[in-house]
Amino acid sequence: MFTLPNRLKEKNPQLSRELKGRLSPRNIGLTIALSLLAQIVMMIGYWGKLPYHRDAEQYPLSSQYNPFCVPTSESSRFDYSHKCIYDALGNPAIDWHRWWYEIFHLMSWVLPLIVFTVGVYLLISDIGREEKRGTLNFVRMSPQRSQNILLGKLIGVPAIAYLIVAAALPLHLMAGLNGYVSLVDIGISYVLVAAIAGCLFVAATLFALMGGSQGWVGAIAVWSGYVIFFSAWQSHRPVRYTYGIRSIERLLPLPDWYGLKISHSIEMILLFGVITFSTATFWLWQSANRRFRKPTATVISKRQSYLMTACFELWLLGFVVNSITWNEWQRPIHYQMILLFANLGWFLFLIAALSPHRQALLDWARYRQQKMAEQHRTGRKLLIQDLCLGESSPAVLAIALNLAIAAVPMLIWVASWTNAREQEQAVLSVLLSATIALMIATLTQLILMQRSAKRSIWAVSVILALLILPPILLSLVGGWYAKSPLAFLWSLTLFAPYLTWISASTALLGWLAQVGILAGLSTTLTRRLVKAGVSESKALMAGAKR
Amino acid sequence: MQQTLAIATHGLTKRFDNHLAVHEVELQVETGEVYGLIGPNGAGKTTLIRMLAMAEEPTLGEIYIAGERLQRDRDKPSLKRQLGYLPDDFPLYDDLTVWDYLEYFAHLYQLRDPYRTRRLHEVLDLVQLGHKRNSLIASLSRGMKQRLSLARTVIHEPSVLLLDEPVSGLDPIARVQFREIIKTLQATGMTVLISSHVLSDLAELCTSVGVMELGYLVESASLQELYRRLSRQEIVITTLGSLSDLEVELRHHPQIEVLVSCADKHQVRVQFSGTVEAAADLLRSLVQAGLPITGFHQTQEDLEAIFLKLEHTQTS
Repeated sequence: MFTLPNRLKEKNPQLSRELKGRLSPRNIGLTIALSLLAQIVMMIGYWGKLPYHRDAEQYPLSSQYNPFCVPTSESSRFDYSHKCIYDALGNPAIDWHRWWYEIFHLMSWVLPLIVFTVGVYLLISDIGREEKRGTLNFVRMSPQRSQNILLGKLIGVPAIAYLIVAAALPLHLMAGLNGYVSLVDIGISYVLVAAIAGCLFVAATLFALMGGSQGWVGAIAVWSGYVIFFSAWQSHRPVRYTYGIRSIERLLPLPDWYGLKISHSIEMILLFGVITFSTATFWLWQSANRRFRKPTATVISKRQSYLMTACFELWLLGFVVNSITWNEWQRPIHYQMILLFANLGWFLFLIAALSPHRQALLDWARYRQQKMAEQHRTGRKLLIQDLCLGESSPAVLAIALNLAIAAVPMLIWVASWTNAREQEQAVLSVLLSATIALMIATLTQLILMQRSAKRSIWAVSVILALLILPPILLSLVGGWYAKSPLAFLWSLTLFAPYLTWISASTALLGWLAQVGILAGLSTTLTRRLVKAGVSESKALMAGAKR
Repeated sequence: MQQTLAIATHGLTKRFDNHLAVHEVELQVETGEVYGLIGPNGAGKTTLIRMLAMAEEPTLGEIYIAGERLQRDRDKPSLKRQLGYLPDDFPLYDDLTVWDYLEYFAHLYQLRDPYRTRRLHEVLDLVQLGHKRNSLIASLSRGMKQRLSLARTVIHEPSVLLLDEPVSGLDPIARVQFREIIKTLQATGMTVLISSHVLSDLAELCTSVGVMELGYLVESASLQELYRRLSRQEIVITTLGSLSDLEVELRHHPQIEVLVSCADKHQVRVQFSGTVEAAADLLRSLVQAGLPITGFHQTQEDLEAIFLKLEHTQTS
């Protein structure tokens, strides 16, 4: 039987439990055998791609096209279908560096895909199952720190995926070195894969701690994301064969970041990727730990949300500041649309992560006064403090604060523009999109207060329907934005271009209508919360009379 | 005062939507006690125990374990080491052996060798699973799994043990075994809070009892106090002679309250409010009166009868 050192068991019992359960001699043998078999099949496949021997007597002048031939001339080096040259015996001259590079290239894409999908699948299934069965509760009750337990899960649960890849690393390294890839580049790529894996695995853990238990959902999401990224990479990969040559073209469809040319070299892409994914992992890690310690808590605290939004906005703004040369076709307002679109996604996440559910809201409405009295706190000022920082208070004011945090850097950037008309449009766009985000936040909070057990599904469905359906319906009835631009201000639209077709006063009119709806939703929410609190007071008074 | 209590709650309330599962419970359990929690299904016993075990967050109120405030979102390793909790469904890891499972929890509770290995053997002996130490958990019977769960619960020698319906679903032999283990744990000085529907078990184990109804703790007292207040004695007297002579003699006695005759068995059942000495005096007087008494059996109403008498049987 596989025995683990006692030190590891004492240092991280969770990791030792996971490894012991998974790394049985049978599992280790099977996994390594499977990995080696796949490598052999791949090598046979690539061996078959090599140019074949030419019968010099029968076909003295014939030649074949093969990408792995030594090119006849330097100019044809970049031609993928160059002709082969042969020696007197008819043996083709093979470009082995290129052959090894192609193997390295394939493995560099396939190995991370295996780690990501298998790891995410295993983590969601394992933690989801433990959470459902209730075994995780006993671990929670132990004096171990949440970080220790989660780290044990992150390293231990995907152990089989790590083993598959570890068994393939010697070949990958050999292929890279033979393909003239520097050790530094290979090393950075390993760090990047580790950073992405860390981010995905912590996200998978958080998903499972939030109640998700279908590992295949995570695996499909990772697979799809990976395929999309791979396609983007391939479409930007220079047609020319680039081993050993530093390409000056962009390798990814990404603009510069605060003037840094992040997509021009592999090293910069890797470095930027490592920093970005590490920051995302840090925040996800905070949320996963919070959720592990207190499963009924919101995914993030209000305090965390402000820092996260600031972080996200500064990261996002980097892509448009000092990096694009504005011209007739590339106006800053077009890039602001992209920022607004990214922000819409961010705020949908924030609303989902910050909004407390029915039980927490009812308890907050019912017992807030009592809890404040227990803590010897009173006053209106403290209500605002509670709404901004409280654990189970409604999320609307916190979302408004996050919107302000997001708007400030964007508006500073807008102030640096030179076109006054575009500035006006940009400010209106921020105003309109922020109000829509607040409307969504209030509506979500209202839906989450419903008694239905499936209120989360309801909230997602209603919000998505409200965002997506109006533009579809409007386009179906022929109401394209040129005809009824105001109608589009209500839905998932990249607001700015529509504003170019309408006057500022019309846009303001639209905004006022939005504010009216927001006021209506807020009043309804307040009334419901007050009602929940009052009904409790009545019950308490009735109890006292009895 | 709080310092001496193993468990103390103040205004402990748990609300699920509009349903009050536990309402302003003021529970006080002295160190070393075995406290039985009884009440109908849905009275709030499980919710109360889950809150004490930090598996559920209270809506309102405070919990103190050995004088220290319990808060779910704060990591307090010292407090967690004091608690052992066995829920009624006792989930386990079927892929581990008995030894590996206990060792895993011993590591989680940061027990160090050689104490750890000694403790593992101790708890295996306690729950009589030493011979199964290398068996997979999946192969154990329900009773064995229950005992293994108890072993996991006490591996770190908690000072407070919370047991929720620990004998439900067990056969009579397994129940007796389980009861004996609890007695052993009590002897080591652990404070035990146990909820059960098997009141005869509780009567044998507990020093105090709390009754829950509709989320309220409606009764909380020592078992002796409950018996003194609510349990009535019954005496069954059998005679060879005439039942009417016996009844006439008994009616002269002031401590006899209710009298029921059973002619076919030549028996009279009486409810008696006197002490044991008074019962002896009664027997003496009957014999001196020349009645041919062949049986004189004194019994006391059990916990089940007391519970039914309390009429706290409404679910929340």
